[in-house]
Amino acid sequence: MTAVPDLVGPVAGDPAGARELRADIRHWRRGRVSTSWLEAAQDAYVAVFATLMIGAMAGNVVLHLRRMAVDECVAAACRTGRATAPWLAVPVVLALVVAAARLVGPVSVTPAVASWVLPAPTDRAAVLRPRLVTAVAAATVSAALVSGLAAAVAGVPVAVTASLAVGTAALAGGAVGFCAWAQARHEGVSRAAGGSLAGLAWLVLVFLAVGRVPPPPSPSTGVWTAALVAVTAASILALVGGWRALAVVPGRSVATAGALAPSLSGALAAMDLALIWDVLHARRWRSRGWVRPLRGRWRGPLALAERDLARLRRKPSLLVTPAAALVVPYVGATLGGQRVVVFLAAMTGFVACLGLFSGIRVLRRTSILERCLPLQPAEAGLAAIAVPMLVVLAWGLAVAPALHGVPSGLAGLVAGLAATTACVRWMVARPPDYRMPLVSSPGGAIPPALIGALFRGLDVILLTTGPLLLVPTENGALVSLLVGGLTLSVLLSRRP
Amino acid sequence: MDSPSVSEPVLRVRGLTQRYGDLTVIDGLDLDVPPGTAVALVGPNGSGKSTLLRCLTGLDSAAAGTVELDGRPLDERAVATRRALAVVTDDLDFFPDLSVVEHLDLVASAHGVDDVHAAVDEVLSAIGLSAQAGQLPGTLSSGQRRRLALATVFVRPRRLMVLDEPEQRLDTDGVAWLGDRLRADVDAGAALVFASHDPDLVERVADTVLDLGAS
Repeated sequence: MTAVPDLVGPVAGDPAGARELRADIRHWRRGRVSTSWLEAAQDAYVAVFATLMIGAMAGNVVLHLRRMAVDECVAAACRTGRATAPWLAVPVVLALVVAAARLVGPVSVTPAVASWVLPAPTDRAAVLRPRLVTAVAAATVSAALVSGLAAAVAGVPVAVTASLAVGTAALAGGAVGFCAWAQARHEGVSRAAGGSLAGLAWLVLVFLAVGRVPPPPSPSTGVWTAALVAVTAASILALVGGWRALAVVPGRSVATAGALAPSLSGALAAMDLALIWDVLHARRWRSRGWVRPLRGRWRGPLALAERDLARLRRKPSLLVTPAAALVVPYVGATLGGQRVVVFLAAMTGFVACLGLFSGIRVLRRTSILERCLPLQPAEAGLAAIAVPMLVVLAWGLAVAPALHGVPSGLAGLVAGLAATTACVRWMVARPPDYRMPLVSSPGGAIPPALIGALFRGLDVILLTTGPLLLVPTENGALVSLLVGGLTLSVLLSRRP
Repeated sequence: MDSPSVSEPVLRVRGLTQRYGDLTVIDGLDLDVPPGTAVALVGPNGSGKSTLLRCLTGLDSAAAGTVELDGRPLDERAVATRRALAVVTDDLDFFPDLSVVEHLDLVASAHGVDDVHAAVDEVLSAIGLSAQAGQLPGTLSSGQRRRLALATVFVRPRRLMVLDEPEQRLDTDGVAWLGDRLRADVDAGAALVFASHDPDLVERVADTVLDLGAS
């Protein structure tokens, strides 16, 4: 009997290592370089110059805000809020880091690497390590910047600002390491960690809202140093855990996260923020796959509204963020926000309730679904937002007691309507049209709508709450409701 | 093939012309589609089948000519048009968070179908998606997504069906079922215009064949 060989095909020696593969790829790319050294130097000069210019401008703004905060935020409640803000920023930043890390892996590879390199018998951990380093670097720099900014604007001493920035950066790096470990072992753990951090931030907000926040710590230099050392040590441990776990991270996990990158980067390049939402929304539901069908009973336009009820029944967690966000306007009121709290409430409602408006987004992103339904655009639009709008209006009424200085019931409705209008504006906005005349910018020619995309939603909130902010009376509120209603009807009657 | 009915056409097209730059894709087309008649558009890729269907359904504006549905200019924005016209083209979109059966419930309910559940269940079973009733569209295969799009046509009242290569991505049994179903609908009085590359389906369903590739 002839012995069967282990492997068939060409004879092969030891598999190539990740370092060799990277060197190969670098070599191929070098062969295709189309930029000269001079051009690269010019680009680098422009980049450094722009960074310095923008950094100087941002520094001036921060110093100005810091002076304003110190000079004008002098009431006891405001001072408490100001002192708490840098500490509140720590769990908020970490929760955001964990959320972002979970979104992108934190270790992910491009579809090309997933198809060509991961299936090869190379050391997978060696391929993935540079990705983890990149993720950690991005997290630490972002966390240091945001945390440092929060502390600087709040007017805390420079040494405390620096310590908070360094500590948050270390924790952010550790959080990414922990997420990498969880990616390889138990993905649910990182979700729980992110939720706990968000819960911690929310608790601080609740204490702020009821005016019972404990005074922030003012430790001695020795304690600061010890705390920083402990935080850094814990983060290094988490990083080592993540580093080691790379050897066993499933290929499916790193490839799935990486598969998002082309869609997200394309949407970001076009500043089509709603498209990013589409990508993430589709991904979330694709991962679920199956649901228990909830059969429809309502007829005509109500059938669309019934689907939103089904969504809430299927995913009650959609209401968690709006419920948790109720505390924000109360914090604003406690800190002495006066009538501006109406604007703050509308902005909070907009951000917190956006996820409720998925029906109108999908219905309006193309004309395909709408043409299946025998409904006028406004009728279909109104039906598709009926349930979320009721939720947001109820949300507005729930924050009404926080809206001092204005007729609070009406102000609550204004906040709710402004938030609804902003959500609809965001969801039904058309993507930037590159066929229209472009305007020149330092970054090249861009469609005029591109810049506006960043402020989408904020514009209609200003428009709707403006009359009430300017004339904080019943009449002002009624005018705001009228403006909001008209804006909403215009948005709903537009065709995809 | 049987000659079309002589009754008033559901769809009347006169002098339809469509151009892309200097290229004339459709040149002065006249077409009448009476109730109970199926018209098949055939021809090689690029001969203008999909372009014609998009013009017929108002998804594209023609360079010249008129399209009338039941004697009135076809306006795809009008509710009456959407009640009468069922369209499936190559562009599909679905709610990521609604299951197969929920999509069909939504379409049937919005059209005011009497017994929504019975109508939807019958179509689901016939089109072979019963087992996928609770499945979300993101996890359906391309053939299943195509079936779901076709199912939206059959769960609602319709006077004119416009289908662009309905056999695309269907398996052999699926195409056979589709042929029977379309023919039954046409025999029941619906009008149908469809583009196809499947000679068997065309032979089985169409009363009139319009060859856009013929010189």
